Amino acid sequence: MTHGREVLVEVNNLSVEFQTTEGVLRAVTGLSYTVSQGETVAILGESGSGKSVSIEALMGIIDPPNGRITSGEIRFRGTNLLTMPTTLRHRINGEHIAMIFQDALAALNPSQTVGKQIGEMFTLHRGIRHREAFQYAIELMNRVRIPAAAKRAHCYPHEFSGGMRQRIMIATAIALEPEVLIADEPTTALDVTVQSQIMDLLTELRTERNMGLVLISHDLGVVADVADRVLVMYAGQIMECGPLREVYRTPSHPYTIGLLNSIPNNQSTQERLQPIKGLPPSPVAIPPGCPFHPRCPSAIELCHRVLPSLEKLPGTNRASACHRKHEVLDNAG
Amino acid sequence: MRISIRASATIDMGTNMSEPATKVTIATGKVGLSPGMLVRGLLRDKVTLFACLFLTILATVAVCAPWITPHDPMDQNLFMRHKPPMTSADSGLVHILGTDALGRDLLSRLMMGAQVSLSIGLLGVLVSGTFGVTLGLIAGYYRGWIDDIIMRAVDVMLGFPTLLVALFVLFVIGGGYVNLVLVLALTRWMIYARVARGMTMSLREEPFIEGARVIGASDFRIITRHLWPNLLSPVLVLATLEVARLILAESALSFLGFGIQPPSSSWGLEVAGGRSYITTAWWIVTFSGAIIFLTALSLNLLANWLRALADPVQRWRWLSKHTASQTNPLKERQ
Amino acid sequence: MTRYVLRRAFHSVGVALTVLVLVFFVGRMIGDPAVLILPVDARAEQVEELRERLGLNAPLSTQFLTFVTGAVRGDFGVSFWQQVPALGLVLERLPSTLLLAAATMAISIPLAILLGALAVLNPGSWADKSVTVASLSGVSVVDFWLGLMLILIFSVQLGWLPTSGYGDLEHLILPAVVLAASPLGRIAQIARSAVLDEMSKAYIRAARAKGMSRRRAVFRHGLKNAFVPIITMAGDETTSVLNGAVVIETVFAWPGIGLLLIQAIQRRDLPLIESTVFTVAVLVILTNLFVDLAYAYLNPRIRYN
Repeated sequence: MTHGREVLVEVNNLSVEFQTTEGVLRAVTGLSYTVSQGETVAILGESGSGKSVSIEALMGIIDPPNGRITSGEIRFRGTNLLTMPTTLRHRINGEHIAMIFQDALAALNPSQTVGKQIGEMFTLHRGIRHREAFQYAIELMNRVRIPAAAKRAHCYPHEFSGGMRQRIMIATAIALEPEVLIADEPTTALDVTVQSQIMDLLTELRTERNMGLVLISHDLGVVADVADRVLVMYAGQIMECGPLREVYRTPSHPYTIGLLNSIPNNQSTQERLQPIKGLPPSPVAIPPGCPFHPRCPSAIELCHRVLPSLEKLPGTNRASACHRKHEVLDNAG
Repeated sequence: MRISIRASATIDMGTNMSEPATKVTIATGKVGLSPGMLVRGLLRDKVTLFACLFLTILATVAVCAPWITPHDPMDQNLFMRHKPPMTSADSGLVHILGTDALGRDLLSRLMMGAQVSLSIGLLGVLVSGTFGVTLGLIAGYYRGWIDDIIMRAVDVMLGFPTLLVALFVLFVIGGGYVNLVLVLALTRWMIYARVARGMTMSLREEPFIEGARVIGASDFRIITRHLWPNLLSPVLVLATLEVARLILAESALSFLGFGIQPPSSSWGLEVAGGRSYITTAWWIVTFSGAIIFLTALSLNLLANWLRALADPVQRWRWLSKHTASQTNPLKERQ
Repeated sequence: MTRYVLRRAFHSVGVALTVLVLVFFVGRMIGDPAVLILPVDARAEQVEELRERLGLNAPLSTQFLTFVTGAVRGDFGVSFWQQVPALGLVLERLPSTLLLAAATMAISIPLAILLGALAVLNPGSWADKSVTVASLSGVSVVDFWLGLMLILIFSVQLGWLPTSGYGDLEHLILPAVVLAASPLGRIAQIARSAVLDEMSKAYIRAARAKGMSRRRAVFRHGLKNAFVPIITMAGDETTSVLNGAVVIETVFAWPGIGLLLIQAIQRRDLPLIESTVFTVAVLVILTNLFVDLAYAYLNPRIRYN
């Protein structure tokens, strides 16, 4: 799938921890993935599965000493971002890797006009004057189809609708034509009709600019239409990953099956929705063995003791972290 | 003593798939700040520990002052005027902090002054706190016209130059211990009313208060049994800050001659007494003022620490081994 | 915006009138002004004569009306001490107090915000802890004592600055520095916690994702949005400084309205006391109005609603 395309981001064995009252919170453990040009990678998972934290690590906005990256490397075009001096590190953001946040209203500065905030990308990275940057901002607002952009650029974030605010976020993110765009639940806060418009805009921009797109979501439906590859995360670890169609059609991990069964209108054979039983573990007390075993319908004694490693399924581009992946796959098939 | 506080930070890992990632909710519920926790927190924080020790010693000295002063604080000796610290008296006892213009032992005077200054601070807070919290509770609980009246009064009082009003009133009714306490209380009750009203307004909507009302609990019972315990910890923090403020205000008023009147002793009065001799007897002003400063600083340190401890989002800092950072990672992920 | 300004201004006038009423009643109700004014051993006919002269034998309502109509026209009566209109005396002294207050706030506000931001740049570092201890010390400072100590060190021992008086910049330094200690501490504390609060918000993370360093995010975005608590505290502290000026002006013999009030009280000059208290109250009210307008100016959401 990614043949002939340059690998942009390469995350290897990344682990992130936080210090809390209740103890060490292991937000992400041993995470590895790559993002290539023109490719959409979806990271799927429930609340607290570590998807957002893994992205914050990629953006370098986890602040020590509470949050610590305990192991691993994050490479952008071969350079390890984690060992880069901080003065150079934050220049990568916006210029090469840009990000869109879930709640656009919270992510925009309430006391600045949107034109100024979009234009800030140019003043910050290119040293362009405010006035000129503001003109660029208007062009970008036109590009993401905000009506009457020249006038609206002078408005403040709270004067826009949710969908328009998300467009402003997108305009900001694509301002400097970054190679990688990260979207953290970009449509969660929006109406269903607006959701598809925003997703269409994102895929259109990805194709137009040949960007690598990382899409964080809990919504399998949103991901299904746009993603090439998918990573399913649970308790800070990857449960299953591979090309989206294959993973959806023949999941090789009980957790993925559970996720697919718990959403309406999927191709699964189940008639009724079947939510996953139980609760995800607290990240300060992740169970030994496979983190999913307390909720897993197919768990065996081995799962209680031994943490399964993420292993490739022979003859495919997929991998699964389940001791019984072959049986699960056979059942699904 | 058990301070209960509402609200505790928990990480919500809910099963609801529409929840955004790693969302943190502040769940409500009572979380006790046990004595054990206080002691553990205190041992971790050396500065506050010293502040507490200092305040404990000071309070003990103030209570026992009549029996433990090394010299009679009223005993004048014109041969012993303005003797510097560590001068020996005829009796062989040392004037550790020196003597004042009338040859009285400064340390003994400050010990007696501690009684006056500390008790005025505490009593003033007790009076203003009781008055302010009561009005705030009533305003926040009943709302409507009574709230309007009380809060309008608070607004007006806050718009007043309070120290000037205190001077003005003390001029009219005269200085002295009781008047000072009343005037100080009069100028500070609004702060408590504001805090109590704000908290009551938000607590009023909480399910456990609604629940109590549904099962037919009387207003009095709801206020005393349910609202007040939840107000206790913020009011305690505020009261600690206010004791420091009132001690400073008392010393300023006494310094100006409108507060405690001689021959009684208060710290501010000692500074005033030493002012004319500042070039010849530096120790009088220096030590009298330093004790006020150290007391206020200790109280402020204590309040700062209590506030952090009472705030569940911040509490982890003091109790976890890594006390380095000020922000809570959980809070940051909201 | 206009409606907001008008509403705030209307509120201020209301507070000012209330203050006026209270000044009158505190002045008249608690004791007989004639008795207060005259020496303790004054004869009964002296008291009676003064009562007649001051119009105190008229019904209270008439007295109140006379007082309020006079006050609105800026007439608080003639000072017993100097035999000239009392308010005139106060206004004469006003500029020096305003100068002192302005110098104090000019020292404390920028420095406090800088300290607060500095603490936030490296939470938990020794710089942060020093800022906390320094600000708590500022809050705990005994201003008249600090004044005396600074006089002892800088004027008596080193001879660098005058002990007291008014005129040059060097007269201004010590009183302004002493008065600045407490607001510096309080504003630094609030600035630190307000900016820290802002730093955990999504738009700051977004700014950093745009490629902004933490330092720049603090100064460019965090500070501006942390203004509400900072300005509120700065306003409150300006009020405290006007109060604290009474003590500090006495210590440094600074000829402002604080010193005037003490002199007026010592001379039992009721009209002068009343006009001083009212003038300071008006200053406090104006400060609060200014703070309200600053909110509107800095917060687009208020400005447009």
